[in-house]
Amino acid sequence: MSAPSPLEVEHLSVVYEGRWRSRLVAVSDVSFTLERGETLALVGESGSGKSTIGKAIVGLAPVSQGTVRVAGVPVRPAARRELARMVQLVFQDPYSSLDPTKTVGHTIAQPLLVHERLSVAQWGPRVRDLLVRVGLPGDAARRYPAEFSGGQRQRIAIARALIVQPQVVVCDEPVSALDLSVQAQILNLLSQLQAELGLSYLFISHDLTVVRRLAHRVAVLWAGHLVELGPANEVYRQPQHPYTRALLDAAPVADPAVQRGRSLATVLHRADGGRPLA
Amino acid sequence: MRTVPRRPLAAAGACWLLLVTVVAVFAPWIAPYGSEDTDLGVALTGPGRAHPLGVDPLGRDELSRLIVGSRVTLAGVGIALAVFVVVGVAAGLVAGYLGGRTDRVLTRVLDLVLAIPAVLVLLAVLSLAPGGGLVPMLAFGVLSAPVSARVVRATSLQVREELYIAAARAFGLSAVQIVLRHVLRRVVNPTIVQAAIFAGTALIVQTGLAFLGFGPRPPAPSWGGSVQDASEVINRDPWLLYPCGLVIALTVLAFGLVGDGLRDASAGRWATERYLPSRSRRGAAAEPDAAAVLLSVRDLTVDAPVGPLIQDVSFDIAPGEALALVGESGCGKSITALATLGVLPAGLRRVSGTITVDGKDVTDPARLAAVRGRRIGYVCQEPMTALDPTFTVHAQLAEAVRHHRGVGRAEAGEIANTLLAQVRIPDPTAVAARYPHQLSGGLAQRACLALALAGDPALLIADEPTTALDVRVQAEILALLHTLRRDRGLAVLLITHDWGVVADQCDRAIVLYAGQIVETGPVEDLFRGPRHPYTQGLLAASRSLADPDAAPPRIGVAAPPLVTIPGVVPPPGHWPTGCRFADRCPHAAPACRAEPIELHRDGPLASRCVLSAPAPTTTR
Repeated sequence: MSAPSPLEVEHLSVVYEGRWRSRLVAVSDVSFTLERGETLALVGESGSGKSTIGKAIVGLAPVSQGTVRVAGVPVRPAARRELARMVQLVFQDPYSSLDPTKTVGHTIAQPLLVHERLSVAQWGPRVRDLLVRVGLPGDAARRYPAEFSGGQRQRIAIARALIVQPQVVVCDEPVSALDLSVQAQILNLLSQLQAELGLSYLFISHDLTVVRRLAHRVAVLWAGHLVELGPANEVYRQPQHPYTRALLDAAPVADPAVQRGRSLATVLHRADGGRPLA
Repeated sequence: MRTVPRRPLAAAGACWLLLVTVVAVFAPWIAPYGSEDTDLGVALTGPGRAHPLGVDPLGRDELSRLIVGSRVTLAGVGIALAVFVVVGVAAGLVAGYLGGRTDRVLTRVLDLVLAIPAVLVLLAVLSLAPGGGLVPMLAFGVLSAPVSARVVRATSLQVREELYIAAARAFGLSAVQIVLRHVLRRVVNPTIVQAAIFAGTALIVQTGLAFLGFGPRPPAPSWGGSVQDASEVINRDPWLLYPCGLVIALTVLAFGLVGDGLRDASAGRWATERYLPSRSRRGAAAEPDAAAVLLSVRDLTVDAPVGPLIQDVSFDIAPGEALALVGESGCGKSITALATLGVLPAGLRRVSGTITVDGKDVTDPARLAAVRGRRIGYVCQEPMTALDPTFTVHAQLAEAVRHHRGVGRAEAGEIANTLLAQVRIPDPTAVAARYPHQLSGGLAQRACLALALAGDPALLIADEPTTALDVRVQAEILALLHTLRRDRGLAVLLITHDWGVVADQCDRAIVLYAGQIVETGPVEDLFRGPRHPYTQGLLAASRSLADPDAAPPRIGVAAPPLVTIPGVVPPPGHWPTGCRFADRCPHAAPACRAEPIELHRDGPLASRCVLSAPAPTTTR
């Protein structure tokens, strides 16, 4: 029997029960799998449920219906510690995601300290190796997050996710708070780490452009539903769903000649009485 | 708190508290006489060589009584303080971190305890535990604990939402581990401040109880007891009140000063640093435009305590023109906008530069305030922070219209409706009646645009107006900006790091790097042949990211790397003398680092680079 795939999501629904019997269906019947070494981009706008799927996979959101299996292990609250070794998370906001009162070394080594009760002498070299691997100086372990820029903090967050040697990393908009040039640095790092370590990424983004170089397959979400899932080059070249088309068209192109024409067309279209989306 | 010694008053307070504590600990060895030794022969003789602080009515040495009395007094304060901190922090952490039902129940209980008059409870406790001692102070600590619990709860509620808490949960840490490792540290500062202030109150209560006779049994000494003894002979010997009164007052004051110092220290010292003016050099003008200039900024320099944030920034905007301000974070884009508006955050100062609107010098803060909102509108990145959550959209819009245009209530309401329709809000009447939290991000940004237009400005300064929005909503807002510019002749200063937005909206662009303009010119020329390596790098990174012809990635093979600019923007205060981009520049030569580089014109573009030769670039 072959090894189970790193991530299997089957008919996943996430429903939040509010007070006064209100219900919010954040994710509705979503299924996909992730292969070893593969990047699946999960694209959608705010409210599409993309981040909720990521949270459900790491056990931070309830799995109301369906199953999520990480390397064959079903996600449920009791298995959180076991799951933590197999799936980790990189967040969007590199400022809020690091505890300002802990040194970088402590932040990265936290799971080792808590789960394995290792001493500094034991985790020190592992943390230093990892810091070098993500492109930071080894002595960064002794410093505090405030001393680092947004891009460097995101490297620290990536190192923290990798310390437990997970198979799957859920990247929740990991570059959207960063400058363009730094975005490219982080995307390069993620791509290089993936090739070296055979990681599988679930890459959550609101912007199809960002995931272009990284995604092997693209899943498009709309209001909690999966509306399109396919190989990246097909989704980019021949989107099947009109919503995917709209997303692709909405991103402005960095070329005045092309973009002027597009945006003028939008203005004229709107002047005809087109109803804004928002 | 390493920063306390920098505050002399707080340091003095801390020294006094330390002295009192040391005296209390070693009281029996320090006191010159036994605290209960009586010598009626010298009773009430006043201060002298043998008895520096005088003698009380029973002939006991006042100094010795105060020294020994400090023990029971400080012990009472200590007990109250310990209970206050332990109970308060524990309750606050549990309520704040767990939230939900636990929080609601616990908060109700805390409110209830706060509502009970402390004096009544203390008297009841005293009737149960006669003879005073430390039990009443323990009760006082419990009764006051809700004060610290509330502060701790508020802080934990906030910390709980931080992403590193989510990361810790994803690592499988238990709630107790998370609270101890991550949350506790964050509540330390506010708790210390609270505790210092509470200690002063506890001292007053402790001495007050002793004064009322609920302290240690006579003849055992205490500060409150000394006040009591002195007050009985106030007509015969008023002197006796001074030593004990002064000691109590000084100690209460010391607690307050230390609390103040700790609060300031935890608030950060950014705003209180001394400000060092810098020499201003004249820079080359960016774009000396046609006669009809709407806004003209010359040699704008803004200083922070760490050093200058922007230096000699100059630019013009003509009516109806759209100017982009581009660069990475930390290059000074937003500071330029805020300085132009005259609304710099605390701690920052404009040290040089002039701002001219419609040909009139408005550099003076009062004049700048007069054009702000009326000639210049402002839209920020986070629409939610710009809207007041306590008013409906219509109410705050009408208020802004009334303020800026000086019209009546009814007319302002109508103008507000028109504005909401102009920013293309679907169903404006329904949206107008909503509160900001009921709006989506796109609607909120439209409401902000309407708010910025309330004074009918000629120029809109928009700081990353679409960065926080989804791509489709971004396209909508960009289309709206086009419409507003076409219909109202609005000029726009658009801050962005997205070259797609620049291409969409702008006529000219300014590229900022480390507080300086490094390149400026018409957008078409900038895209076609940027002169400065920084602009080239930014554009190359943007194109490489969005390249539609790039090979799709294959599993198991690292994708060909995207074009990046290595390194980071040097922080303010660490700018090199020569070219500030030299450390990241692929073409850097010794000449780059020798001296400051001037902005010089080359065709339609002006750039700040020694290699003025255009580098080969490709455009599609």
